[in-house]
Amino acid sequence: MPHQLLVDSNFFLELKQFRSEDCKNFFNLVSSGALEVLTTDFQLDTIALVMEQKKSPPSDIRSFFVSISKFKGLSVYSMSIADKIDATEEMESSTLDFDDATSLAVMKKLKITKIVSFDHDFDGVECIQRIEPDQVVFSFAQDENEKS
Amino acid sequence: MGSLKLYVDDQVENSFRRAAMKKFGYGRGALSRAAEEALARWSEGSEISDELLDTVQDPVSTIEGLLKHVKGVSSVDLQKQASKIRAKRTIAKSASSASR
Repeated sequence: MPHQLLVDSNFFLELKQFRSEDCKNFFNLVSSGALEVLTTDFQLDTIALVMEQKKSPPSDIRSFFVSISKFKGLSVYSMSIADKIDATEEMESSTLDFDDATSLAVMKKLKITKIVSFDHDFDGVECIQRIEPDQVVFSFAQDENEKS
Repeated sequence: MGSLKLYVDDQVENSFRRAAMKKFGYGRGALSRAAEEALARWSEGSEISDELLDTVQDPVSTIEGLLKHVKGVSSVDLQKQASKIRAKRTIAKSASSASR
């Protein structure tokens, strides 16, 4: 089954911020494998960079990546040069910066139409829909109810 | 030589066949060569020692703990800052290596 959702790095960073509970509920579903989502290596590197900037020791950054590897429902897409070339084309046809355009390029390539993100820059971008964690968790619960 | 029978989504199969033939040609063995490369890459990239994996029991709580000091600025701002940090570092490194 192809992935339906791409997760933006700000979602991980929100785990200790204002929407932490929503993000935690979302990631618990992903961790157990009940929900299958995709992110890119580029997004994860962004988190490592933020951690380093905030003086996290290398051992913490290592623990972050080990934790990521334990999410049963999270696939990590490794971006190719072709994806980065596509991203520059997305930059030309939208107002997205390079980081965001990499997500859009991967989404288009893999035919993913929803991005789980707090970044409003994705609002109004053609062919994709930005959604937030509570929406994902709610629609997951609805699907489960319909099944039972 | 081992053999594997796999069941994958139609879309994945079609895109894999196209990419494999584009790279290895339309002859016999193209799919196997591409599959071997893909499987090797996936398994090598997924190999993490048990010792390390055992250090994390609950990945969500672990990440939450690791990010406990990353507060105050919105997650989207942090993400945008990362891109500036990347750019600054690249420029600084290239300037310092050019001056050597």
